[in-house]
Amino acid sequence: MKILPRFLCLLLMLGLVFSQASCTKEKSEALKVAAQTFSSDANDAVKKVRELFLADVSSPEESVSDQEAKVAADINSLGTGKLNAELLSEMVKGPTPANPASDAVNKQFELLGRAYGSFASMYESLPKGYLFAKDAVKNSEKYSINLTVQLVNIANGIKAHPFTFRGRRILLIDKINRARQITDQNQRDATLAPLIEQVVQLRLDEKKANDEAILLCLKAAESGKRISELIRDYDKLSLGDILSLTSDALGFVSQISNNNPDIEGLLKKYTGIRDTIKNDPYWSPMLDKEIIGSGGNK
Amino acid sequence: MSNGQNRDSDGIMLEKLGNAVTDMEVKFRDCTLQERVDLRPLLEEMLGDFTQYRLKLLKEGIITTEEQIAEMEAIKKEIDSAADKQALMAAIAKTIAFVATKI
Repeated sequence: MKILPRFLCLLLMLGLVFSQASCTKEKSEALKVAAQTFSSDANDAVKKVRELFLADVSSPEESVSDQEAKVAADINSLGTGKLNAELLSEMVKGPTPANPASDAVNKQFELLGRAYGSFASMYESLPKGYLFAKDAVKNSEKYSINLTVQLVNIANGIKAHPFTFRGRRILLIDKINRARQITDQNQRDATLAPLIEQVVQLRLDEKKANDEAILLCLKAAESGKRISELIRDYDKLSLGDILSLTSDALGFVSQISNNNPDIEGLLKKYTGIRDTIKNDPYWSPMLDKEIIGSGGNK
Repeated sequence: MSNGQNRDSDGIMLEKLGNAVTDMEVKFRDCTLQERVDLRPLLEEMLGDFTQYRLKLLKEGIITTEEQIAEMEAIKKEIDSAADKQALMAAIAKTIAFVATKI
C-alpha cells in the first residue's frame, strides 16, 4: 500500500521536470535550425572562396581543339629531331604545370568545410536531450564565436588580397602579344578589338567574384553572430525572442540582395562587430588568441 | 601576427610572386618541347611557392584545427548522451505511469 504514494510522488517529480522544460524543446529545435543555417551559409562561403583560390593558382583551361593545335605545334617544333619518351611525356602533359601545393590547398579547405559541418552536427540530438545538455551547449559557444570571427577575417583577407582569374590572364597576355605581332594594321586592330573587351570583362568578373565571396562570408558571419547570441542567452530568451533573433537575419539577406550591395560599408560594419567581440569582456576570453588581429584586416 | 605594415608588404609580395609565375607560364606556353622539359621543374616550384604564400595569407585569419574539430565532436557526443539519458528518463516515466494505473 506504501508503493502507490511513492510512485505518484516520483511521477509528479518527473512530470514537473518535463513540464518546466516544455518550452525548452522548441528552443532547442530553434537552436538546432540556427546552427544548420550557419553551417550551410558558411559552407557556401567556403566553397566560393575555395573556387576563387583555385582560380588564382590554376593554369588556363583550353578546349580540345586548342590542345590539339598545341600538340601539332609541338610535333612541328621537333624539326629533324626524333621524338623520345621524355618528349612524348611532355607533349602529353601539355603546357599546364602541376601545382605541388594543391594537396595543401585541398586539405585546408576540407578542414574549413568540416569545421562548419561539425559545428551544426553538435546540435543534431539537442531536441531529444535538452534536459541534460545545458552545459554542453554552453561549451559549444566558444566555437560559434571563433567560427564567426574567422569568416569576418576571411572577408577582410579577400578585400586586402583579392583573387584573380590567373588562367584567363595568361591566355589574354598570350593572345594580346600574338595580336601585336600582326603586321597588317586592319587585321591587328580586328584581332585586338575582342581582346580589349575581354580585358574589361576580366576586370568586371574578378571584382564581381571577389565581392560575392566577401558577401557570402559576411552573410555566414551574420548567421554565426545570431547563433552566438542564442547560445549566450539560451537560458534567458523566450521562444519568441529566439524566433525574432533568427528572423532578424533575413534583414541582412535583403541588404545584400540588391544589385549594388555596399561591400565597403558591410565590411566596415562586420569588422566593427568583430572588434566589439574582441573587446567584449564576456566573449573575448573565448576567442582563440591567434585569430585576433589577423586576416588582412585593415 | 600581422600589422598594417606587414599586410601592405604581404600584398606587394603576393603581386610580385603572382606576376612572376604568370609571366613564366606565358613564356612556357611558347617554348619548344625540349625547352618545356627543362623549364617545367622551375615553373612548378614557382607556382608551388606562390600557392603556399596565398595559403599563408588565408591561414592568418583561420583558427580551425583538427583539435578543435575533435573538441566539437566531443561536445556532440555529450549532447547525444544527454538525448539517450532523456529518452531513458521518458521511458521510466511512462513505465511508472503505467504501473501506477494498475495499482
